[in-house]
Amino acid sequence: MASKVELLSSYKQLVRALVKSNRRSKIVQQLEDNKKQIALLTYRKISLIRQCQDPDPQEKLKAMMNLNGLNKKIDNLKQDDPSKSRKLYFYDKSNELKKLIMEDRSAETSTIIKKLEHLRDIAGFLQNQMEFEQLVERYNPGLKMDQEEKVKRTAAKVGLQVPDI
Amino acid sequence: MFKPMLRGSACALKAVSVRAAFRPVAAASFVSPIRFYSSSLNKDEISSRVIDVVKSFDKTTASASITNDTHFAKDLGLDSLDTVELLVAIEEEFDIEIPDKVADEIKSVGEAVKYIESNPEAN
Repeated sequence: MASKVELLSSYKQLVRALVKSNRRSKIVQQLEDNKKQIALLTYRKISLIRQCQDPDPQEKLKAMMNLNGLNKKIDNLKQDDPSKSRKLYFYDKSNELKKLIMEDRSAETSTIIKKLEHLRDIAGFLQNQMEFEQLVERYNPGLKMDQEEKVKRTAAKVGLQVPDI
Repeated sequence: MFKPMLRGSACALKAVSVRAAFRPVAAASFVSPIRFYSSSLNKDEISSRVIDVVKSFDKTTASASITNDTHFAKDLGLDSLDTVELLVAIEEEFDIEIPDKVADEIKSVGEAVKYIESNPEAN
């Protein structure tokens, strides 16, 4: 019985660490993906606008319809905020994790204890790694800045301003 | 603004009045944005958010009708490990950490809502 409680608490630590570290990277990834999708759709939109100049009225109508659909898609993507997605509160491979844990429940106590220790170690590693990454990021704000922002700030440092395009 | 008032007064008085004049202002402007307690959370909001989290859990069996009385094990068919997962998700949603002892007692949506309501750090 004691081992069950211990198992649950180790599992909880592990899941918590996994969810936290996964969520952060997934949000970043999703934002990048959205940006790429928006760029692609905008490109398509521009070529559709070119098609709208078609002299054939039927072709023109078709292009207009497509254009509306694209606009809606782009708006949806722009409003999509992955940090609000509740799917990210769950670890997506938990079934495999569960199977792995339940695999040798009938084994000796010492092996189970060792396994639990291992689980806690993994959880600890994940959590500390995440904390480390957060600190590195916080102390080096230039790491995640994109080129445009860097140029802007460098210019501002010497009293110049990047022109708005 | 304070200059004409202080000009005639003695040095000690000046220091005191300056301190007295500035301290509450400074304290208020520093503290108020940080201390943002969960006064805005009411019970209905908490329960609707918890239910949303439960609904997005793909292992639940009867996700259509989740109320405050829904029991994790009996109504949703979750085993203890799944329940742990769900509780972690709820922790993430409200940005809290539920201690193990309390988490063992939480077995239904209503109990989770009750705990979150009593936790001042939830938001």
